[in-house]
Amino acid sequence: MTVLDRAPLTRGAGTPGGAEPKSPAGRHRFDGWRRRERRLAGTIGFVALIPFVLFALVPVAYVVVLSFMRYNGVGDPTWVGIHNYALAFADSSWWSSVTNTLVLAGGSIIIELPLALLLAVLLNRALRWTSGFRTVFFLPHIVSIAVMGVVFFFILRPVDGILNGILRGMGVLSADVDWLGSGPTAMLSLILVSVWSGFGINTIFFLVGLQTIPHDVYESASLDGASGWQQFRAITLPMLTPVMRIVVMLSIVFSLRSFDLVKTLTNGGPAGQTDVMFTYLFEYFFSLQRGSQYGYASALAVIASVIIAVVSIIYLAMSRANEQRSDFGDARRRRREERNAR
Amino acid sequence: MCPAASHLPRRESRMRGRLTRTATAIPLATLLLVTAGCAPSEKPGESVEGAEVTVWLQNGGTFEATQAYLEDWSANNPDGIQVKITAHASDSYAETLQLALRTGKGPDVFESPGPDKLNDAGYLLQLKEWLSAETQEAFGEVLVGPNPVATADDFYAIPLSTNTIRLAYNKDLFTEAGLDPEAPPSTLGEVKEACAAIADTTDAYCYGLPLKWTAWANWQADPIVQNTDADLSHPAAFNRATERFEFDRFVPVVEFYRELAQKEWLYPGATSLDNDTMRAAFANGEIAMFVSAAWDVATVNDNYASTIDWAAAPVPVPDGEQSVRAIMNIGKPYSVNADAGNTAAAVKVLEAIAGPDLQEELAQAGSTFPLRLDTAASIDIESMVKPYEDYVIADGDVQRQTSPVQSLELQGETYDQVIARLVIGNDDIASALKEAEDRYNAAWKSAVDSGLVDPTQFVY
Repeated sequence: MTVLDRAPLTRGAGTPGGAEPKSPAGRHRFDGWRRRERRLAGTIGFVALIPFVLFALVPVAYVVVLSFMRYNGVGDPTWVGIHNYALAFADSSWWSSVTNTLVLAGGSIIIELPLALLLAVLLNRALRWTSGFRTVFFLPHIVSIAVMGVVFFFILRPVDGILNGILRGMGVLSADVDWLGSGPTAMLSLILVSVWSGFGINTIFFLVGLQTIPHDVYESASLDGASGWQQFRAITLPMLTPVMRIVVMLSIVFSLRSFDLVKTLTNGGPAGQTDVMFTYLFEYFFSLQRGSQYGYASALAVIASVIIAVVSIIYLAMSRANEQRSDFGDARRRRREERNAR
Repeated sequence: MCPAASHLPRRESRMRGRLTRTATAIPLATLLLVTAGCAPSEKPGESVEGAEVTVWLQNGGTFEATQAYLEDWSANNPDGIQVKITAHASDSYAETLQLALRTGKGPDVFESPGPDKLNDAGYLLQLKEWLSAETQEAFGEVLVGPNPVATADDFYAIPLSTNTIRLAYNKDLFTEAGLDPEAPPSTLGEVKEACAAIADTTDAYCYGLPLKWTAWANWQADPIVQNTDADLSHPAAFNRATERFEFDRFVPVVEFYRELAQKEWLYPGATSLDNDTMRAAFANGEIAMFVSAAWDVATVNDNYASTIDWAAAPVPVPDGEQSVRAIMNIGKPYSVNADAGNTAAAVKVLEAIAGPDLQEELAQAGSTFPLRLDTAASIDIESMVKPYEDYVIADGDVQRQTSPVQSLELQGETYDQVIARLVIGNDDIASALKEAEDRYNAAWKSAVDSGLVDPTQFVY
């Protein structure tokens, strides 16, 4: 037995990250250790997998299976093939709710992200009471969205509504407006409330990203005479890209999954004009007005998930294409600069 | 230890022992779980001593009295049954209850909105075997089906009251507008004339229409149509004689509500107005009229502590039509969960709720319109709070016949959404209703052809 064989299993002595032992005995010990490690890792992974399978994969699989069934909660489900999907593709109300979802998601992201970025840049400039502002901006994020819906109903209502009161007090309005009374104003209200609830957390994300950018870069740019806007465009935005990609991705997914705000603030009204995908399909699971159509509701849920996945993939693909274009542009610029220097 | 194992190294032997124990324990645990899940429900006569029974109540006119009675009963019943009460907002109660029942977290005893549907889903205990003969006798014919609480063979809910549908109106506002408070409008045209007078002379709004309420059309549009034809079943104007949905019947209702909306006679924000907010405004004297149900007496008088002088009259009919009946609804049905923790104890709580003590207290307080025959006979109508008398069952009040809507597989807009869209917009009324009617009739035909519904339940 060599010294190496007797040596403890430390880094560099046959452990991962170190050189593998060359002697047969050492190799044997190493293989045994590796098997035990793999077994332990497998066991831990398997235990963690159980709740994931039970509470995530099985329900999802159940919904997918149900989407091919006719089932009203009574009696046995019957196989109907793609019938529910065919119904969904012909259901104009469903596609209206898909459009509403995209409008709500697009509207809130377009307003929310620039606002969050602007606030993050301001907070990053070490203003007075920065931590106070951060807390205030973050507060809406910890308020239950259902509570928010109810509160904003009282703010937006036409009779004794707070918003109407303020606007009339300022002389902006001469008569009360029913903000939730027409499709466009109700949708605008939903977008603004959604922005209010989401900009705080995104501000924090951007702020974290901004604080990772070295100050030296800005100082060098300043010495070179770059203006604030040029620094923002040439330094802040490019260096914030990884954070921005995550923030946009999360915002897209959360916005497309909207449910509780719409349910509590408009309940899809007026007359279904603000129904989003998940409030619409909820009716088929739980409403007495339509009867229980578990199969159809499940088909809608599957389609909704596919839509969210497709939108997310399109964004990721566009984002990567932009990045590659940007890298390609940088390389070309460098080559041009090198040529000029020569 | 088995003989073969004794030759194994100690560690391997220990491991095999653990494996053997695990292998034994898993099927045993599974067996226990399965047997626990499949255990038969308790039968009448099983011990109820000290059992805990969960009860869900809706916020509303009867809540406080029912809660107080049950708390007292819980403290004093000889079996020591403990009652745990949870109150729920009335607007979201049906959805919350369904969700709880579907996820196995439903209460043991509960107010049961749409009990026929819940029974179809298998959530409700069949009560004939469980309920005492005395209680069954007290409710008489109402527990004999088919009707919304009973099949031909059994019953699954006890309705504690009946809900007549009336036009509620504010007599003070009528007087202020120069209208005769003792001669309320009986046609939609007369309502519009009254609205014109009220808009001209008062600060109030003429009419309350809570379009955000999920059941608004069932009680604010359907009765206007249903009362003119005894063949129509509720909701959605299904004609039992022609075996078709007839949505053209809603044309005068849509035109009426649209005109009220356009002339700003409706209480503002109708599309985002729920029933509770609308009733609060009526109780506060801000609304002159709305189509109401008997349950609104307690809500307006007690929940909103109204001081207005108000009354109720028959639901107005479209101009040129005659009322042939007044549909009403069996109200306050209570059921027992088919999966109640202790069924016998739950039934005892149900018997306490349906018993004469609480029912008489509620009726005498003007909170319910009792179906218990002994309670109904004991009420002194003259002494009741106003306008209780206006909602008491009268000649012409008949129990609604159930339409097949809840059994159909419908996609797209529901009839109430179509009507709401037409009321607040300018779309062509006839064509929109025709499109919805065609969809409903196609769904009916498909359901009958596929055996999804038994047509004999819905046609003559």
